[in-house]
Amino acid sequence: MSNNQESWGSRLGLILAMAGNAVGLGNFLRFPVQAIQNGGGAFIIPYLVCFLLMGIPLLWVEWATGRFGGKKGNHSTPFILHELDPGRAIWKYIGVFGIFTNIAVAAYYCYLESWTLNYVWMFIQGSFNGMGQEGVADYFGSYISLSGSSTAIYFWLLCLFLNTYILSRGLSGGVEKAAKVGMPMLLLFGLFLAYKGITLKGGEFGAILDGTVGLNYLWTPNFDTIWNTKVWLAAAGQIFFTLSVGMGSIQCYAAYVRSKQDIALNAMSAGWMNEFVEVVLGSSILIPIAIGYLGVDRVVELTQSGGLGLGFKTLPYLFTQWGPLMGAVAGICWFGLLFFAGITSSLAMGTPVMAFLRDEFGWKRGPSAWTFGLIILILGAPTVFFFNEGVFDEYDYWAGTVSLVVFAFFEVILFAWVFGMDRGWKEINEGADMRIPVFFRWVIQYVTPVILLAVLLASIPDILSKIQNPGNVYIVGARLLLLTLYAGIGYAVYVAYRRRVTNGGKAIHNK
Amino acid sequence: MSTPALLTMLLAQGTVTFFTIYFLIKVLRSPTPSEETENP
Repeated sequence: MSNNQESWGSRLGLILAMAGNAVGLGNFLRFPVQAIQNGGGAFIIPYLVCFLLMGIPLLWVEWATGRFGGKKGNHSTPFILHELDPGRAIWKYIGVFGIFTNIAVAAYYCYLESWTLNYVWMFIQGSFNGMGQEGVADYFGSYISLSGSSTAIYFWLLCLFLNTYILSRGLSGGVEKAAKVGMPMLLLFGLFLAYKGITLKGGEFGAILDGTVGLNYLWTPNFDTIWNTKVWLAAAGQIFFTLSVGMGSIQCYAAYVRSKQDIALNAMSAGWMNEFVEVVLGSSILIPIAIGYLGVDRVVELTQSGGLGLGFKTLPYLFTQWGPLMGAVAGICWFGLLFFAGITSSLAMGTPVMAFLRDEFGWKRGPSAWTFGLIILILGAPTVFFFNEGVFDEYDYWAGTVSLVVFAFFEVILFAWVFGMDRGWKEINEGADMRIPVFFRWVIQYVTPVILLAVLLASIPDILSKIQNPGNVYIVGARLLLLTLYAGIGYAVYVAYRRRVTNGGKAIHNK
Repeated sequence: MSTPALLTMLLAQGTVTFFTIYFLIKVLRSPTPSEETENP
């Protein structure tokens, strides 16, 4: 009897859930900072080239492998990859990345998500009014260092509960419904804030410059930078983060697509929706508003350590300059959109873990969702309690950066060279509602693997330097925890495989 | 805004908006697949 008969309620719901998976906090906080640090408007050239030659091909590869695995009753990457090349044992252990990454990223991402929820609450209460710029920045500092208050812990637990509860409602009853509410709200909030950012007037409400000064700074192209390898690596990295490729969550969502249903057009629609949020909305909020109040030099200085500080320490204060009502509306919209961006992504991280437990061990939806929540609680606790010791960043580096590239490289090799490009191309085109240019067949086979290999090789010096200089005992502990997690999932995959052998090669739910 | 910045922004955001709307309309106009092809 099958215990994993989930499916998507509607095509639009699937696309919104996939777009929600891709759209994250990075669309609003990371992209604009990457752009101003890598050639301004000229950054869009390597960025779109990487989207075309790496992002789009990976989307098709992941959607196709997911649907292919789903046809055989597999909904998580260890056995989806195994299905592509059943003769070799190694692929299911490489597929472990598709569960490991989701758990490890969700462990720190849910904490980040909970900050946005707390800031929404702060704006509803009007707590930032009259606090001053330093007061708002200090609030963030004391919030994450847990000094004198457990608020951060309560909001983190609330966020974990919300994620787990929605996951326990299932794919169409939970994840899809959340995406159908979250994505339109995110677009609405984003459009409102982009309008406020672009129309910001110098001299009004304490602003010193027009919003267009920030836009001008962000979009002025410095074409000399496009010959710089670092700029191309930054662009490739941004495409990775923004599309959520190399994680295993796309494969899992696609595994629940009907066997003859289109994936080519769905992938394009979800992918471009993410690009709209990033390039149009992401570039029109943070930088124009921040530069309008603080000037170019100060914003450049503040973005040296990324966009997180600007988004959480500076922007709340700037919103309060718009008066109590408009400031509250803007603050709720900003942190509300970040929350929706976050939760639609973290829900996608829970689905592969649940799918694995349900497929291989026959668990029901509820227990598998609450088990995921418990794992995230245990693994996320060090990121909450030892944030200032670097545990959060360490998780982000190994799980949210390195693992994505490694997994994407192996999956594209498996798809194009082991499964074979003839079968792969047929799989992508099966049921397609659009004509895919043949050009992409060659891109998937030759260009995408080369780009991924280049990104991987370019990261090696940094990886070696990180390994040689761990920094402190907390970071060593975080690494051991991540290694244990990978080994633990690997062992679970081994046990599942042995069970399959006794079950005639099929997952438990297909018994 | 300077002309190069404005042109770059309009070109980038215009391209992205065009493809987003184009693919979304294409999806909405496509027929719904039959229920018989459910994945296991």
